[in-house]
Amino acid sequence: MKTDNKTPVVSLTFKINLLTIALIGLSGLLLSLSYLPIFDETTKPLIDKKAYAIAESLGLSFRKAIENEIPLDRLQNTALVFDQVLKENKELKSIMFANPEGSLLYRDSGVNIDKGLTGFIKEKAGQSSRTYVLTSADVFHGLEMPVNYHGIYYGKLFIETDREYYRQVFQDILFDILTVILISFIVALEMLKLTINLLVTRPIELVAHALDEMKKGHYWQRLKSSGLGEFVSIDRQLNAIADSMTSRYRAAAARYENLSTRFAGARGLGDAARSLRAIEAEYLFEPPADVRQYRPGRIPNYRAPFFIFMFSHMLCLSFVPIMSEKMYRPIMGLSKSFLNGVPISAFMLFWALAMPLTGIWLRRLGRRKFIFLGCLISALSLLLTAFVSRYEYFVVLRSLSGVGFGMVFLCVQDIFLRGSQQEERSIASSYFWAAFFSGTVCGTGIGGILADRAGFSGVFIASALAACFSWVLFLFLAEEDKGSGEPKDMKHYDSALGTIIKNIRFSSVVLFLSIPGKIVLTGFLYYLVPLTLHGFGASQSFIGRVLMIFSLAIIFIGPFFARHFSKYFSRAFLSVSGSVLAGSSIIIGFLVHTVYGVVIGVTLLGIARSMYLPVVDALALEAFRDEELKKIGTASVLSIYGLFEKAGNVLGPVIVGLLLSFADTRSALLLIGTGTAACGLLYGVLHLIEGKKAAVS
Amino acid sequence: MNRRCLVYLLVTICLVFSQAGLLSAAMKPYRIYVVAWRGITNGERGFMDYFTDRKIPVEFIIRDCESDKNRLPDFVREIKEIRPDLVYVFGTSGALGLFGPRDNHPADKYITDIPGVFNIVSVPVESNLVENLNSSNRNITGTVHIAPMETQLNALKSVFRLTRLGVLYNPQEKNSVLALKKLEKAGKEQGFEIISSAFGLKEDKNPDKASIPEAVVRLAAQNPQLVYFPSDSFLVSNATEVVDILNRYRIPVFSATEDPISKSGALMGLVCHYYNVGMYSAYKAEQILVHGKKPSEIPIDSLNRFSFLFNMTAAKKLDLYPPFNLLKFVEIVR
Amino acid sequence: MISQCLLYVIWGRVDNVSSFWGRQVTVMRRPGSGKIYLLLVVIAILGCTLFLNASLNYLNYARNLKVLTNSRFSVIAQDLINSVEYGLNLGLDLREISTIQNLLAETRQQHNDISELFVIDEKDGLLFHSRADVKLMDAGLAAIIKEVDMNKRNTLVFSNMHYLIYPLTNQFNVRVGSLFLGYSSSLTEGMLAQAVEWFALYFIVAFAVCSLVIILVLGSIYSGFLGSLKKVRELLDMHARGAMPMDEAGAQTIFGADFSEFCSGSLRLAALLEEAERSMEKIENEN
Repeated sequence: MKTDNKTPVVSLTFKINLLTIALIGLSGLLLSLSYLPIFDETTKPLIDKKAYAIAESLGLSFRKAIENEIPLDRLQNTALVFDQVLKENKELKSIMFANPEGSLLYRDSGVNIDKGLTGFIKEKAGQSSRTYVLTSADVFHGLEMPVNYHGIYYGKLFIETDREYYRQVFQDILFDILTVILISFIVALEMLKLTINLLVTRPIELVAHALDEMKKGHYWQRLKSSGLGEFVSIDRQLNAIADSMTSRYRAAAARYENLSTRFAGARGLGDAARSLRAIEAEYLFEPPADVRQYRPGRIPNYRAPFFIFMFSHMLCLSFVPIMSEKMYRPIMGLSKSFLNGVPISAFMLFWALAMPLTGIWLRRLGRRKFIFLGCLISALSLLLTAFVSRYEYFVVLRSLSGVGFGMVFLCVQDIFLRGSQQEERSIASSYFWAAFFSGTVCGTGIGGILADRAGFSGVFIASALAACFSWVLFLFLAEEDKGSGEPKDMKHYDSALGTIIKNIRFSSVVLFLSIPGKIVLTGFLYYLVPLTLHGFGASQSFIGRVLMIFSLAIIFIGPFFARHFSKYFSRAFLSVSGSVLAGSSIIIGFLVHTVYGVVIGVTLLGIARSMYLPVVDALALEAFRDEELKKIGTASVLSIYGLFEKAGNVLGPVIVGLLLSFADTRSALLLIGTGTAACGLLYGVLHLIEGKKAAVS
Repeated sequence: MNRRCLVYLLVTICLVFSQAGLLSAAMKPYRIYVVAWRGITNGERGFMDYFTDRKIPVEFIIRDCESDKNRLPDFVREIKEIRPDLVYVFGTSGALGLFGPRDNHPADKYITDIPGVFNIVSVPVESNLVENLNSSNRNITGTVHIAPMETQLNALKSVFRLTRLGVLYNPQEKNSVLALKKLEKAGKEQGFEIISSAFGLKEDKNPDKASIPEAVVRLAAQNPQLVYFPSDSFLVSNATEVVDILNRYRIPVFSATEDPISKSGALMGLVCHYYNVGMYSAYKAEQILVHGKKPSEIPIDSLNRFSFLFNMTAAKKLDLYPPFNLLKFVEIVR
Repeated sequence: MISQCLLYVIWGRVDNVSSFWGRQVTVMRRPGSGKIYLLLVVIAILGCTLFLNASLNYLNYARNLKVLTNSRFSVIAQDLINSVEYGLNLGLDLREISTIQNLLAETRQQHNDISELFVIDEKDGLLFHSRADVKLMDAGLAAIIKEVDMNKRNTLVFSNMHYLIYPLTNQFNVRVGSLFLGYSSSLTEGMLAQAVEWFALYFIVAFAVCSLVIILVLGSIYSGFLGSLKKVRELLDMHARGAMPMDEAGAQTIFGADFSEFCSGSLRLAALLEEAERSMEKIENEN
């Protein structure tokens, strides 16, 4: 498309996106802030009641001291107790105890005693009372509790409540709100992309294409109105012009035929003939036999529904191992850590098993029905998972989810990669993976937040609904196609498998780069990280955010590596460095075995994967000579490579689970990290040796 | 009478007898052979009351060593003769005498085929009674009556910023010596000094009561912040004399056992009430007798919750009071 | 208008394939302005975001409310548990700790939003109740607690009451009973119901304001774009009437130079056709 008609669209898109994002951000923050006064007002009485309960509890200790004739000014560790109470009850600000003379005997270590407060305490402590009093003064806001024993007043406890507790609460959820806003940005951009494409970009491209064709003289072109009101009349106008020109030409041609038959040799016929021939030389009124269908902007239509579908499945990613740990019961003597990883492995296994299923049934059923089936299986399995309480059923439902996921994933991949024109394929691939990773980012982020609030069941119900919504979008956007019998893929597997795996370079890519990479992904990231962070006491929201960091690193840093580093470094070098960095990032989790160590490790892992993810499959192809590749077929190589990758996905949680059966988490991290780095280095060595051999031969 | 009637009659008779047998088996009380060391203590009372409270029918056969281990072989012979369902014994000496050391307990000399539960043993592993606390790997189990040293030190440190801790001990008493070793190790790790003073021994290697004042004064002269009393029967029996001397020097006493605090004026301690330990031993006995567990399947441990005793009389004399954080839980003794 | 839109949304199909085969013009199944759809989509996105935000805040509020309420009651319950355990530490059986009855009654008096306090034994039999006249536990509640692991702390909702259940263990960690602290669900439900109203109100206001901003601002942005399309329609109209739009005018449309070239191309075609027609007319006239 010419830049002339792109600019206004870009400008329009930019303005719409900017407005939407600005509104989302501002409205989200302002709405959250607006809730604070509600929170403050409604919780103040509860905080006061809590302060009363704590005052009563502390009072018991003072009364026991009095009962046993312990002088109240000789109690040790009182400040420690006050500090501990404040630590456990963030709604409280300070605790003090003063005797009837007004002397402050005990206070927590954080309280700031100024003149005003001293005077206030002296005054209030000097006043005996029978029951507690709620006070709100400049220097003190909270509860005064007298310590009486058998009618005698012994002093007063002052428990100050935090007037701005709601701010604390807001800070606690600020990260969650920002996560939701960030995810809303991504969702908004995806949906706007789809909408603007449908409403503006595609119709403009169609009209532009029509104008381009017509200016070249192709007057057989017609526009099928695919836009809305604004474009319908333009389409009709252009069609009318084309129609009128075509009918005029045909009438003129028929007329000439008639005249040349009736009045052969007449003067003027030559002029007419010349004019008609000039027209025929420049203009076409019938479509040529080899004309190709122009399908602009078809690819982005699938991006949004696929994004929603990915989102639906990734919602639960941050807590599957935690959920299976909760449902654990001894089965066949298998260890707990092994069983915790089985649901993830089951999902990956059945995702892989969906491939032959897709191969057979996609062509027979057609895309729409196949996607419907995949979404139906996904939605049902996710919904049922919300109500499952037994481990075995959980594994079965995760397997079903894997089937549904695999079906839609492979179908959409097929649409993106095989259905797009040759020149669009790289864009199609980037759209596909962009939807994949955006869906993962959004899903993991929101899933963690929802899990904290609505529980695991709530998240699975939301996942089922999102899967249904994605199907609705697919319904509107997926094209129908006819089945075409047996897929080519199956034939590729049969004939090429032996040849491919006998190739040492290919096998070394698979064994030392691809499979370890997948083991790290599913075993470390999806299994070990959530469990480890959960063990450290991290909330589900936090765990979801950590998994988001990984995907964000790939989304934002990956293209940077692809663009810049690939110019200066070879693919093999990038892959080896990526593997070593991945291994090192896991070892960081071992060395700094805290929440922050894990977060740093996950971030570096994202960077590492973005280094080698774009190049590893190319390395697998490079393992073959051109003539070999032509014979076997790129599709076969990639299909078999994909199979091995999926095997790595399945093995990841199994291997990590087995490691954890024999070693603790730290040792498991060290082993996985060292193993990954070693595999990368080993590949590097093999690559050098093979390279030297090739050079010598 | 035809054949069918005869069969019915025979079946009925069999059923009646078998039910009677079952019933009698059900009603038949368990026989527990109780070996006390120095008379019936709260440990034994707790043990026996547990069964009574739960209406578990038990017949107790009670014997007393009267602190003489030479009586134990007689009890072994009797046990082998009458074959009770379970043997209970108080203390390390009693347990070793009845069941033998873990590495040398021939069946002819000791009780090996009848399950045993020992009570009030402070260091079962170090006493060579069992190999490890998770499983005795023998036909015995039992309870420890001392809180773990770390827990005791935490309780102690809630009152004192520990720098110099004194320890009085009987060099012949294994519990004492082991406790001293543990404290020395903890002292090195946690940065406080241990000063110890041992009681003198008579010619027969038993501790000498006459050496008490000298040992205590020797310790006091080194200015410990406080003195630790391990679980030591000689020390426990002479606790009053020791505490009186230490009170003159205004040195408080932390005891690992109950009696020095409740009876002899020691200031405080994190202890297990013998009664509760006895109940715990009875709980383990119940697991064996009623639920069919093997003694080796039942770990040897102490109570889950301890009692922080504080003697208010001593507290007032020494002007040292229970810490606020433990006030709710402390048991005040006067 | 809204129902019509909805009808088209549900029943209509978007024809998403534009083909340049043939000359049939497919009937537009969903007429209407793209502006409305765009506004609807953006409003829907914003609505979902605000809804998610409001839900998050509400769930957070509900959680904090629950935590605040339960933590307060936990402080009260812990003191009761300490008192009970004190007795158990002394070797007393749970039934023998007679002070529990008074303790429960006093505690309930001091905290009037506690509906009931009671202690059961290990066989779930009622031992003590804050109301001395209550001798038996509610049968329904007794049935439910059989499904619950009483060795752990639990919360139960039964018959408009929230129960916090705490195990009471002896010194060797064997459960000898449980303490139940019950408070009415209306304690928190009233606050939650009111909170829902407030949160919903603020959400509606925010949504309305944002929708208005979108309609006005986005509407005007899109209208600007529509203006450029209108210009194209006008020029096409002019062209259809035979007038040649100015080169600059055509080039300044969103289709740029293509538009001008198309116009000049079609005018050239028209000129050639006219030439041929004139020649043929002349022949017809002469003959």
